[in-house]
Amino acid sequence: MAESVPMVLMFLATVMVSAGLAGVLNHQVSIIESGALAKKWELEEIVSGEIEVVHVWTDGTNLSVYVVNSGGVPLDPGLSQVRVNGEWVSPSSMVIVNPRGNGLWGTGEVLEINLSTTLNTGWNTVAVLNSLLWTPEYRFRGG
Amino acid sequence: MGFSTTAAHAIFFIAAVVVATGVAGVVSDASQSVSSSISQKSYLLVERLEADIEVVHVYSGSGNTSIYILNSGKSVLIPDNLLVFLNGRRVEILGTRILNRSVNIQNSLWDPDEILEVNITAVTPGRYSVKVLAVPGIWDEYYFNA
Repeated sequence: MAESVPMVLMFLATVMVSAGLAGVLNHQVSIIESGALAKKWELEEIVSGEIEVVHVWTDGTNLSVYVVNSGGVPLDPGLSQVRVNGEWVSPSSMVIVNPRGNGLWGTGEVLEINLSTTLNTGWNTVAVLNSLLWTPEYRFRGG
Repeated sequence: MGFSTTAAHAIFFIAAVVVATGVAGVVSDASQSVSSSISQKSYLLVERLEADIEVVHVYSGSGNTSIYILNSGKSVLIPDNLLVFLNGRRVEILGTRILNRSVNIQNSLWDPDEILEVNITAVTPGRYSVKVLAVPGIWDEYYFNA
């Protein structure tokens, strides 16, 4: 009987140490989990997201680039950046031309990006970047 | 085997179970998410491969210009999603209607083999190109004299 008291104490100590260790590890796992969740969203956007330039209008200086969200995830139109002939050009305005009203750039919606730049007289290229998604380069004739 | 060894084993075992459960949960959730993204992407791809349109005629009247577009694909399209570009510049759609409404699939939408009449503003005499885009990424271009 005298021996069982230290055994119980040792058992309780073991349980307490285990619980403490589990708590610490649980905290670490939850940190890893939130990191993995952020990566999951990125991965989801890369796998499921897709954007494509479908049309470009220009008068030689002003450009309207029409980009469709052809993927499965809604995007933030404000994150769109445009590269014309390899140079980044700041858009002067952006508008979704066929909005469905939720504020985001949904699947099937077309974003019109307006900007001004100097174009080549022959062929030019434009590509659009939105967060992690790139459109393929679109070739069009300058004004 | 002494009590301290058993206790150490118990501690490591419990810790291992806790970590394994957490990691399994995260990995399972991530793989499920990627799997659903891939299936969504393949659905969109199939939808895109099945869709097609063809501009079959343009009538230029004094009041407005009418563009007649055939849904020559296999998927049902949404007329509200159309974009029209006249000589490269986007123009507003004034109205649409289905000419040969079928009753077999979606009565409110633009079914395969149906012709959609799209009205835009009248144009002055000259040669024009009209590009109709039925998103996502399906388009046809047509040249006409007004």
